[in-house]
Order: sequence, then C-alpha cells, then structure tokens
Amino acid sequence: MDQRLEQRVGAGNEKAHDHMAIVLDDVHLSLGRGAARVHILKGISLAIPPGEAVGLVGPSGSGKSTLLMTLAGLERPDSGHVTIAGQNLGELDEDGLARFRGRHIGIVFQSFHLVPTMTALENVALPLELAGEADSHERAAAELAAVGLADRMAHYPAQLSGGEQQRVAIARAVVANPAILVADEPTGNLDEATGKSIIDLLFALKRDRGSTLILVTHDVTLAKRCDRIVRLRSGQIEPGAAA
Amino acid sequence: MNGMPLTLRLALRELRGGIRGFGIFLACIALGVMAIAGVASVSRSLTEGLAKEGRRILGGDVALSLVQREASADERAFIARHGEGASIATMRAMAIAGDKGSALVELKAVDGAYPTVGTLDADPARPVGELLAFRDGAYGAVADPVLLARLDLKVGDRINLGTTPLVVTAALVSEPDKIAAGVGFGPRLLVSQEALRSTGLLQPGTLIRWTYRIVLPPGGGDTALAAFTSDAKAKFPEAGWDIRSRLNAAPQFARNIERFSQFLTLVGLTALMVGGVGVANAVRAFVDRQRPTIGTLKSLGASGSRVVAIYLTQVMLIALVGVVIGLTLGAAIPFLTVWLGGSLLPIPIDPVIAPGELLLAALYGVLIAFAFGVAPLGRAHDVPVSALYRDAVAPERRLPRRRYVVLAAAPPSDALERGLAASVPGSLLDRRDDSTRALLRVPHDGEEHLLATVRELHEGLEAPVSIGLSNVCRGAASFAAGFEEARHALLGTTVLQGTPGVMAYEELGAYKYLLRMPFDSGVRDAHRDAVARIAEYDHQRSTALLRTLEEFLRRRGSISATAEALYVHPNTLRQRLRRIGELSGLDLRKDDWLMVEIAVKMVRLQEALGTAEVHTHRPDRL
Repeated sequence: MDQRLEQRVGAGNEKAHDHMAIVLDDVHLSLGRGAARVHILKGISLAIPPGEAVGLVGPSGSGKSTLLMTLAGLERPDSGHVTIAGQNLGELDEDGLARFRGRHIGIVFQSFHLVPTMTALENVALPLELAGEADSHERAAAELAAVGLADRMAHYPAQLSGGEQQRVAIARAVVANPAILVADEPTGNLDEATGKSIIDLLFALKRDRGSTLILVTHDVTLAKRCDRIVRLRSGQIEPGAAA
Repeated sequence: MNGMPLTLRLALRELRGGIRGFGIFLACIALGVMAIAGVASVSRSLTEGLAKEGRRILGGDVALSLVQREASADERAFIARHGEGASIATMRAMAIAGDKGSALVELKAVDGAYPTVGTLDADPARPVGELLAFRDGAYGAVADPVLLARLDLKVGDRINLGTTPLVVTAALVSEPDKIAAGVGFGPRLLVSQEALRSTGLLQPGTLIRWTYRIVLPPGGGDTALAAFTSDAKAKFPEAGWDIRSRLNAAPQFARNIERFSQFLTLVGLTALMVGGVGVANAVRAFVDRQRPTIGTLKSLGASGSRVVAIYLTQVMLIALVGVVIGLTLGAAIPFLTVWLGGSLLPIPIDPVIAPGELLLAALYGVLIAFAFGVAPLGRAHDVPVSALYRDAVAPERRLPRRRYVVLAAAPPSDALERGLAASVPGSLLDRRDDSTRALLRVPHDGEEHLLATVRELHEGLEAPVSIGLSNVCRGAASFAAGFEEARHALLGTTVLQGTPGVMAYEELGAYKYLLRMPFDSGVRDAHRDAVARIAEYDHQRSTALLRTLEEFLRRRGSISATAEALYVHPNTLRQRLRRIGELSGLDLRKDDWLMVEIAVKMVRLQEALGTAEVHTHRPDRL
C-alpha cells in the first residue's frame, strides 16, 4: 500500500487496510476500442470496511456501474489494484476470479438476470451448484422461503412478477453467504411500493449476515439509508463526498 | 437429475427452452447423416441381397469355367461325382435376319438341366426344353426383346446363326443368372448346346467360355463348398479353370457396389462438411442469443471453461437429435426402395439395418457438429459479464455522435486548406472560386481546441483570410444551420473586427439576430437615419464619430472608460459627443439607448456588407 493511497483514503496504516472488505487503489479503467475508447474511471481510491453499506451515487455516465463492476471483479482495471477480502484480484486468472466471485460476492442486477429456463429454486441453487456444494437445493429452498417465496419455488421467471423475480435474484445473491453484496439499481425496474419492500429486504439480509453492501442508485433517499455515500462525477470520487 | 454431472445437468436445464433457432443446424446434421447412412444401408442391402441370391445368380453352389475348351471326360466325371451338374457355353456371335440385317448377340447355349437354380421367364411361358427343341427343321431360340426390336422380329420368325437356322420361340423376360455374367456387349440369345454345335461356330480358337455348374448335396454348407474347391484344384492343377462359389457369385458387381458406395459416401460427407458451415453459423447465433445467460452464469461463479462445456454439451445434445433423425431416415431408404419399386429393380436387394454403417454415419455427424461448433462456442468463453450491464453502460461506452464545426473562409487559401487537412483529421474540404468551406471534425478534447487550432493556422497564413466558424453540429440535419452560422460569422469578421480574422458564431453577439434580418425591409426608423448621417459624415471627413458613439454605448455612458478605450482626452470625447448630437439630432440623455445601439449595429452591418462585396463577395453565394 503506497503512501498516496494512505493519504487519499485516510485509512491510517497497512493493518487497517488488511481489515477492509474492499480496497481500491488508484483504479483507472477505459472501455471501448480505438477512437471509441472512453476513459471511465479516473483514479478511484476507496476503502470500505466489512459490514458497511455504501451508496454509490452520481449522474448518468459518471461511472457508477463501471465502478461496481470493477469492485465486483467483473471488469479488470487498466491500472491500480482492487483488493477484496484481502485478495488482490489482479493476481487471479479468469477462472480463479469466477470462483472467487462465486464464493465472496453476491450480485443483484437491475434487470434481475434470472436464467429463464430454470425454476426459481434452480436459479437460487445455481451459485452453490457451481461452487460444488452438495446441499444446494435444500439451502436454496430455505433462502427462497426467507425472501417469502416458499410457494414459488417451481415457477419459472416468466411466471413471476417483477418484484418476485428480484426477490429470487436477491436470494440467489445471498445464498452462498457472500461477504460482499453489490446491487446495481435494484429497484430500477420496479414500482415504488415493490421497490421499497425489496430495499427493506436487502438491508435486512445485510444486517442479519453482516455483509458489506454496495448499492448503486439514483435515489438520494435510498442512498441516505446507507452508512456512507460515495458521489461520482466524471469517473472520479467527488472530494469530501466519500465521507 | 442430481446424480448427473453438473455440466450435463445445466445443459439439460438450458434445453428446456426448446431448440428454437436450431432448425438449420438440425437440417444440416440430419441431411448429411441421412445421406451417409442411406448410401451405406443401400450398399449393405445390395451386398446382402447378392450373398443371399448367390446360388441363383451363379446357377448352383459352385461354377467352374474354362475358356476355349470343354471339360475333359475325367473332369466331367469328377463334377458328376460331387453333385448334379449342368453346363452352359457363352460366346459372342452374329445373328442374321436376312434382309432385316444382323446384330451382335451374347449367345448362351444351355444343356437340358438349365436352369439348375431359379426359373427362366419367357413370353410365352413354356418349359426351356420345349422352347429350345429342334422342330420343323430348325432349333428353337429365346431372344432378348432388345434383339427382337433391333432386327424387327417377332416370335415365330427365323434367324440364322452361322449356318444354322433358328426359330424365335419366345421373348426373354428374365434369366436367373444374369448378373453373374457381368456386362454384355449385345442382347441375349438363348439356344441349346445341340444348336450351337450345329452352327459350325465351334472351331479351334473360338472365344468361348464353358461353365459347369454344380449343385452340391444339401446340408454340406460352406465347408463342403471349400472342400470341393480345394479338391478341384488339387485333382486338376493343370485344368486352368476359374472357380466361383455362391459366396462370390458376382465379384464384378460386388466391386461396383463398393465403388459406388464409397463415392456416394464421399458425396454425403461433403454435404455434411458444407452443412458444417450452417452448423457454425447456428452455433454463433446461439452464443449471441445466450450472452445474458452466459454473463449470469459467469457472475455466479462459473468459469469460462465451465460455460463452454455447458454450451458444448447442449450443442452436442441437439446434434444427437439431428443424428438420430438422419439415421432413421437413412436406415429407412433401402426399405423404401424395395417398397416403392423392388420388383422393378434388376438387382437383388435385401433391405437390412446395418448397425456398423449406421454407427459410422452417426460418428461423422457428431464429429462434424463438434468440429464446426467448438470454434464459435469458444466465444462463450470470452463473453464478459459486463454484457449484463450493457443497458447501464452503453451510454457511457457509446461513441458520442461525431461532432463537426462548419468553417467558411474567404478568399480561398491553399495554405489554410493544407493546414486544416493536417491538423484537423477527418475533416471535409470544399474549395469554391471565392471561398473555402469545410466540415471540421471536433476532436475529443473539445471545440475550444479546434478554435485554437484554427486561430493558430490563421496566424501562420501569409495572405489575409477571413474565417467564420459555426457552432457545433451533430448529424447531417444540423449542417444546413451550420453553414448559415459560418457564413454569418465570416461576415462578422468584417463588421466587428474590420480586418480579416477568425470569428466564431457565438462571438457575434447581437449581430446573430441582426444578420438574419432583411436590410431593405422598408422599415423607416429615425434612429437608423440619424446614425446613417454620422456614418456618412465619417466617410466624408475621415472622422471616427460612429466608433465613438459605439464605444460610449458599450461603456454604458462612462466618459472616463470610453475616453480610455479610445485613447482620447475626456474633453475630446465630450466634444465629439456634442458633434454627434448636432449632426444626427440624437439626444443621448433622452433617447432609448437600445434603439440607438441597434441602429449603430444596423448601419455597421450595412457598411460591412457593402465592403464585404469586395472582401468576401456576396455572402449568400458562400
């Protein structure tokens, strides 16, 4: 950990970083090719302690989703380091990264992204099956019951409402007990009432399990429920906003 | 289902969505496999038919044939010891039908035992002995209908063979041993051996083949066959006979079947390979359709190789469906052939299911699906999870629509054009007689940089050139407005700067509006007339009263600021303002300054357009 980072994130000493759930150190990322290449993340440094809920806000195109992808290990930064639960993601190959994600990171997408040909139960069991867990279906069933969908296990996504699909997606994200939960506009495709119940559920799960939650949102009220708000603008964290 | 390997389990789950989009894929695999399986099955059925009908085709269990000589007494005695025998002689001869001409025939002379196996069909149907018997001074003959047609004969007509007259007693419908004879050079003519001997054709050196057919005692099987063959070879090592058994009754025909089936299998395999292109395309489209699911699987912890394995399994399972369809159709072909026209076929066909051949066809199908499917499936390995965020990310990733600024420059300048081409890549230049127009692509660092670049280029020019630049245009629809803006900015250089310079449309200020007004609108305005008088006075006396008024208005009536801007003493300024009042009748303490200011700008513009004729020619021709 270099000195610049120490100053920027104000994290005290090296040991303190070891205990961080997520550490981003001067992360740069460009997407696209050739003339279309756009520099999206411009030197992001961020340290998030375990159990914290962080609201990631900013205008459209400020790089929120890209930052989320980066700290979930879905995009590799061009430069800088991403360390999650003490593991520098740059040291992992693609397959290692996939396995790491399966174990440590639960992702909730705005568009749910359930596998349409699998039942709710199979969707939720998927991360456990991929991780080679034997009791995947039992645990998935318990998780679905916990999100209030005990009677919907054999339903396919097309047979579920938007709110129910997002509940399935949340059950799937938490079934493997990941240390980090990332959610990208989880209520973006839902009406207000359903959205609120989904957010309540997400925060309740986070509280019960002590997971770290990173929440990308446009909704300031929603962001205020988080322990900390990180504001992005043009690919940079707004000074003083990361407090 | 839980007992299955995870990859297969996930592949089967994915297949619940059906095999939509795999129509071409299935057709390619099924047709290719059907072609190969069909050819192999027909070939096998023919071989089987040949084997089963070997005895009939050969006319016995074994046939010994000799060329140019008959069997000796010893040899005949040997044959008689082993079973019932019959002999036939075959040769080519000319059948002569008097005035009607002659024709080459494949002559077959048989003894009384013919046919030893099977039956000879003739029209009219009568026993062979009766058809070939000597009656009314001539031997009977059975002729192929082709010969009858060729020589314009009918049953009962006479023909000559050598010196012997023959009477056609029947038309040949079918002979049981036809295939064994191989390819013939003429139509068949069947006579008795007595008739042949009477023709005088049997001379030393005549090209004739004597074949002795033996029907072995029943129950001997293949061992008796082998025993006879080796016995015949051992007893008569010098006989020079060609020994054929019912197991290879028609070796030439068998070889032809083999060649044909090899050729057609190659055709089928080629079809399958061509179908492979369809397979590859279908798989590529499939991977594209599955991007969201692939991304989801990866986000949930599936490695790239796991994803490839899942989708490869799916593709191979679908390929298996195609293979099964192909095999079913292919295996049915021999049965269909017999059902549709078995009795019409001149060759023996015994439809069978040939497992070995079908397995080979299935293997070809599976291999083609694998070989052509695996490469496009490799793309699944590299589908990024960020594909899931495409909706969210696209606005950030999308290349902003190309932005352009329109440039108008007068007079045209080679140096400027060269400079623009070099320092503003992607620009389009249009050279006119009196001006240069250009679409300048706005660089990524913004239009300010573009403006700076153009100013820099302008400074480097030796000859004076005026340059006007439009606001930023996005898309072709905005170019028309862009050209208008550039034209106005170019005029602005004359109005506002007085000297050839660079002006952006935004710098025109209020002139943006004034330039869009028609000057000869006929509106009479006292302020304009007053200001025009000042301009006129300036012209005549080379004074700068209009400039003084302009500056005074711009400085909001501040004597000190105006005097400073004009580099004159405040008293001089006061004097000039008095002169302006006297000349024009304007009272700056009472008159509406906005009206005066507009009037000043209008007059300026009119002046500029007058001089613009010199500098830039008619602006509307730009």
